[in-house]
Amino acid sequence: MMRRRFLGIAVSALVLGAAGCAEQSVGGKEEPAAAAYPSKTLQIMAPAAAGGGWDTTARSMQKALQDASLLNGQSAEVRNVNGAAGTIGLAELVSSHSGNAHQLMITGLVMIGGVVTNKSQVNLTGTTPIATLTSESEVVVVRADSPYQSLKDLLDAAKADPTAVKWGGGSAGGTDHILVGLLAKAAGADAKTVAKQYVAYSGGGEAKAALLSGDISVGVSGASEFADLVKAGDLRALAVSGAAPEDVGAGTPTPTIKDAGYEVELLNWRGVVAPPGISDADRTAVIGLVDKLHASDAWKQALAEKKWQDFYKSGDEAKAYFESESTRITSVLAEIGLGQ
Amino acid sequence: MNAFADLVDGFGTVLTPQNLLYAAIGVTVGTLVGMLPGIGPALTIALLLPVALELDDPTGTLIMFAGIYYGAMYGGSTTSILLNTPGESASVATSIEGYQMARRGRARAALATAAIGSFVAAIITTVLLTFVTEPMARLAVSFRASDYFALALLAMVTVTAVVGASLVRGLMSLTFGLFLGVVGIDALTGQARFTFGVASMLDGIDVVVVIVGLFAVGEALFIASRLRDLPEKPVPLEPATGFAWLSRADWARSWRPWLRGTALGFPFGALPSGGAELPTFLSYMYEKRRAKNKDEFGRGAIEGVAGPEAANNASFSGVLVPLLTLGIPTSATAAVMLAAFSYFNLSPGPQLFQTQSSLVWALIASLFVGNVLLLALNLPLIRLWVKVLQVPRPLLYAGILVFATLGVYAVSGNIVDVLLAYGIGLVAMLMRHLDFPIAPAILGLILGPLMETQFRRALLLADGDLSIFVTRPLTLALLLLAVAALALPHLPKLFRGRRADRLAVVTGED
Amino acid sequence: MTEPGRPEASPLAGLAAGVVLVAAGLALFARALVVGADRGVTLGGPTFAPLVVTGLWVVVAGLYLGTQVVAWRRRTPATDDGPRPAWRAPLLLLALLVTYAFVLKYTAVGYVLATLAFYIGAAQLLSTRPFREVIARDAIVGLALSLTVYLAFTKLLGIVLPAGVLPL
Repeated sequence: MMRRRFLGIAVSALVLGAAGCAEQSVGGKEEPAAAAYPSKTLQIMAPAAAGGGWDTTARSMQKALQDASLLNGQSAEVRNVNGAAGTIGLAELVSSHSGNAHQLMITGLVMIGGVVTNKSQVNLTGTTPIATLTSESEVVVVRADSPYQSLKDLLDAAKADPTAVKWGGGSAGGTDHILVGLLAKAAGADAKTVAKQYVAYSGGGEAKAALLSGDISVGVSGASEFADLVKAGDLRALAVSGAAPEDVGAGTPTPTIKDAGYEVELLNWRGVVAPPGISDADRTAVIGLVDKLHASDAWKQALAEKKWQDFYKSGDEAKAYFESESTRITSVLAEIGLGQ
Repeated sequence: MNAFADLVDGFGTVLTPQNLLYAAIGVTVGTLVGMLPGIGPALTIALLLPVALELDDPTGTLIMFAGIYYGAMYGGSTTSILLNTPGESASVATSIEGYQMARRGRARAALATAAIGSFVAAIITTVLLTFVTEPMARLAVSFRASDYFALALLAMVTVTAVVGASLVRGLMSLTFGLFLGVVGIDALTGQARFTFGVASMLDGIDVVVVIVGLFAVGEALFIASRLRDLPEKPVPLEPATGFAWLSRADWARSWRPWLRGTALGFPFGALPSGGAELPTFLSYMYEKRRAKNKDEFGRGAIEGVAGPEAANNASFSGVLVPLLTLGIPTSATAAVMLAAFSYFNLSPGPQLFQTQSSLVWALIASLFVGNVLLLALNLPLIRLWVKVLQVPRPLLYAGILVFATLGVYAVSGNIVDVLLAYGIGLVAMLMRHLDFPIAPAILGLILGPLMETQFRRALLLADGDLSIFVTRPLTLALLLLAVAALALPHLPKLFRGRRADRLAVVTGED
Repeated sequence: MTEPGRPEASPLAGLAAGVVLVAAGLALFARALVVGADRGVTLGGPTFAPLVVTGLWVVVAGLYLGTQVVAWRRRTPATDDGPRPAWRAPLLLLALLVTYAFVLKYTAVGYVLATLAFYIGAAQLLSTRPFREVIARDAIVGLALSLTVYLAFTKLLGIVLPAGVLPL
């Protein structure tokens, strides 16, 4: 079994290499391996159910690859493997697709959290990182009649009494919860107790309703989530978690968390990985393809339509980023008591 | 009224050939996906979004999506009634009486009362949507966690009527559903519960998996176990009488349940954690309790189809209230529609009625048009649908199994989900043999997590102070109602029971 | 309440179900207790609801077992006479379903062929007529169904079903 797989890898590498050489001798192009990739249908796995965020990323990628004619005459397919914050798909990628350069998977910050909270056997570092593609900042909002005028007011209150502030956002251990932990840490508050005041909601809608009803005092979610209510004056945005100030509905840019004096930056990013065990030539080819995807107009159009921030790192840069994010997120989750 | 003039403008937008075509496509696609188990409107809309973007016509697209949403509800009732295979949880209540009617040759009347009831509910609630949107939305978001808990408890105690003839069997079925609801990662703390080390079970057991297992798979297995005893030919259809397949008596028995179902469905749909299932079950319970001939319930009472189906459709207009005015989606489909809005650079919320008023009114007008189309489509189609009952049983149920597997596998790609559906199907077959009712299990699965989550949220937000449940007037009122609902119907029975006991003692039995 | 043509299950089956339900309830309750003891139980914590639900299960299953014991005591020869379900067909059907799922997920047979084979097998298990009489009909309907579903899903909805060995 193992040997056969190995053989398969060797053969595919050989074929790829040969095809690359042939291409080179004819056209004399600079990227020999990339020209022949993909040599069969490209499979993109969305490790979530059809219709969700990762699924949308996968399908946008598929569409842009096809529209920009980057597939070398081949086609791309999106397949869904749902479950446990993407860790079911991750386990499948690592266990049954090792060495297959035509199988990619969408991933993201949420998966790192999922690996920790679901105690997954397989880690994101077990894959071959290819690139990060998009990101979204987080936003911290309060009701318009809230006493907290700034992020500092809010965190001072949480520091003085960790149970005083009731936070709300997406699933436990998800991006929103992680940000609450990071903020509490940065403010020098009791991070574990503060994170315990976090109420998980099943989606932005429920969290919005809870803010309006007065159940929670602070909402944490993706930057665009509360835009309409901020615009209408029902909510006030205190800070965004990205590197630069951003307009999240107020009409003027909302300052970053760093502007408020706390060393916290958190991006809800999404990216793409390949299975482990692919050859260096294959890895170069895949990275080459995604580089071209990123440069294409079709992808730029997809970003604009879906209002995703361009957040591109590929190859070694992506590998380093995946690793540093894994370390950081894992330690935060452990500190707020979710990593055990 | 300004709204009226706006609405007339909306009709002007919708009644163009192009937009009518969008509406027609939407309701047809919706009807089809509604009939397939597991493939709901939310998924369909999500998958059609990229196509819709190409069209670059926000009004037309949203009209089409609303058509899909409504169409799916009409389609869902069809399979529930004819085959006892509801595709989603909101159709379960309809299937209880609807299938019994179909088994007794009354399929056409059941389909007709469902279609007309849906239409009536949709029209009334769309009118309500036109005039009371803003205040209704503000009221809906004033519900807090403790209120939701009390509401769920009230629903739980009132729907014991669904439990069926044998209380203990019904409770067992309910408990089974409650247990399925506990499985998976705890929403508030992320701790795993009853996952038995299977990673796929961390997400919990999806309600679609349970419904496909309990109904489609369970029914097919049950049929397989009873082949020799079942008649080869289907029950002959009762001769069609009256107007639109409903006799005068059917009309007389249907119209009140339609209105009551509408009254239940609309407010529940508007609640951010309300959903469409609760009002359908509450409507069923209410009709059953009110019925003069209670014996007929369980054997195909038309009120039990008319009420829940109206409630189901009414809840959709309710869902639109917080979606349009506050940008709060209260169902999976609404969440996908919200995504569609944002793709077109529209942000639903307090400004939408001002900034995009022509689009909003066109959407509302399209709801009227879509429902007229659906009624026009579904009433004549009844003639065709009942032909399904003539399909030889092996072909029909083998097909149901193919669709059941497809619904679970294609969407999740996760084999554990598929095996779970089969396992639940086996349990459901045994339940059918032992006369356990199926519907309470769905109720448990939906109500259990709602109750637990809201209870714990309320407690967490009150720093663990239980008095939150008695100090908030709305919560307290709902809790008192729950107590009353629990006690009142049993009081007469209790006395009667005691008298029967005394009689038994007197006659010296046992 | 018994419907016409749907006889009450035999008292023995009810008794057996009661025993199984009580045993399952106790096992689940014990598990909830162990987890509760391990992590601590608070009203607002994650261990509370499992205890309530499994506890309720034990109580209700106990009540059910009680009613079944009563029914067993009162059984008359007549109640044992009802039509007995045949277990062979549903169990084979279940095995066929599981095989079908595994073939779809883990082999290269593909959706259309796997579904066609499953359809013919399932229709046969659900039929009382001999294989020879119905195979042509089942195969035609099965092929039409699987092809339609495959094309509708892959081409229209964009949900990929395994193509497998067929050149589709």
